[in-house]
Amino acid sequence: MSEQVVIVSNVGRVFSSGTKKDRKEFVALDDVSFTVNRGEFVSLLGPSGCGKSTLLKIVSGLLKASSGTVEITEKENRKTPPFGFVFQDSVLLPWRTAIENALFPFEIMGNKEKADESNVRNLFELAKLVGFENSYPRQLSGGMRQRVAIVRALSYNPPILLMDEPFGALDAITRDNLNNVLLEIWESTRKTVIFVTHSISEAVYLSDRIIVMGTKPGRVVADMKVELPRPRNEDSKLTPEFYSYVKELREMLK
Amino acid sequence: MNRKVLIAIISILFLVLFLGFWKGYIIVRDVPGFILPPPEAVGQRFISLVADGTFIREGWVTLYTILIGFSVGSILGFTAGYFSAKSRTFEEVISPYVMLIQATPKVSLIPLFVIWFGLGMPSKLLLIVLSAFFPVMINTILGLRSVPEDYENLMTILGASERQSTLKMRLPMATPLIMAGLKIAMVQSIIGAIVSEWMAGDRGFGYLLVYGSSLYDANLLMASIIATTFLGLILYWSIELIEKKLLFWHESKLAFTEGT
Repeated sequence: MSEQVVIVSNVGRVFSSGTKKDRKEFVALDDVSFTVNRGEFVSLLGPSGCGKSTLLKIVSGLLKASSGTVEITEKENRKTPPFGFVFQDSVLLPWRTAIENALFPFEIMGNKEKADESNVRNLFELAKLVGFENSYPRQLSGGMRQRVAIVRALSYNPPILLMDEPFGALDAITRDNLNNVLLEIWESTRKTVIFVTHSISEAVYLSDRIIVMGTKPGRVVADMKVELPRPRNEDSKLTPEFYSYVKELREMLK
Repeated sequence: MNRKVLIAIISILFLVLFLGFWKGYIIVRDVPGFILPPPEAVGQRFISLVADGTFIREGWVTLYTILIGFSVGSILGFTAGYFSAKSRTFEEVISPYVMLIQATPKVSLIPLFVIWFGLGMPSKLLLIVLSAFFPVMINTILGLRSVPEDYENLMTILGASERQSTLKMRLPMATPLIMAGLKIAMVQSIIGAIVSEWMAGDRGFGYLLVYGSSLYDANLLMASIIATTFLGLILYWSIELIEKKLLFWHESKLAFTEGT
């Protein structure tokens, strides 16, 4: 059995708002448990409001859980952060070029000199960004900006990559493109990935496993293995197996 | 024809037309020179006031008054804005006072300043400092508060310190709005300087204006107005130049690289 690197146990999250007298509580997540193995590509799939982004933020430590625990076994013996995080927007610093953005994490970690430039160069190649190293974010298309964001998240070689609807703001064609770029990067780096999406076909195409979430309150309704052969490409989407996964998930999310 | 050449020709034509109308009006209506001097007389007076050093001398006084007041006001405004953005408590404590002073027309304070600090530099500077303070403070708060949440999240994920987040992310992100505040502050400082020189000065362009008015010397007045306008333009353009250098990456400044 492969090693579990992320263990989420009975996580709940309650948001409260309003005044002291008239307190409104909203249960965003209720008793969520799942694990992720090393090198696995796992998607959190569900409709808006199911708490999948909240869950990802709790895994990353950006938000605290109201109850339950998250254990990250990769944390030990590392000086750099265990996560790379890709947001829905690229969150690039607009006054820095693509390469300067990709090297930004090293500057924050205080080892600018030890920047792993060969890794970054390699990632630029995988992300098909060669020739755009010195472009400013404003000069890049939305898809390219998001690829720079992926390169930045992986620049310091974190074991776990967290992605929060990273392609949600892109058009369908660019999105398909980036899915393929992401698969290529994943095939060659074999990171553990947790990928939040509300696109069923995207989740099936990319994932080893899909954790299906429901709303009111946000909870896990299914944990489904996707056993399409790898490496996958556009043709994988035309197979009957692909369709049966999509159909099953669509039923589940109705 | 090239559009730029066309625009230049029309602009020059427009100026000639304006000067012609001005001159023609004086001839046709026989306007006395002490009410409306002809354009060439104003031009001559302007040149002679530059040549004899009057404009340089008085302009220098106005210029350094503006620069000192603007700098002090902007630095204080930025500092107050920075701490207000950082601490809600601080903001809530000072906000009623800020609102009160902001609602007061700054110019109305000059007579009081004259009683307290006399005619001269302290009264003038205080007015300019107050004029520059608020636009910079408010825009600094706005700029720092409007940093998107995911930028903060990114810095957290990377393990950035408070200092790193501020220097490498928050301040640069806030720069477009802070620069906009500085531009407003500069305009306000120029107005503040001229008005305070009317009231409390014995030097500077504002003083020249009052002096010209009291002598019915419309020639001196109009030449001084032109000189004041030049000073204002130079100061405003300097700020714009700094803005262009700092914000080369911002949407509003990158138009010229579009399509490359």
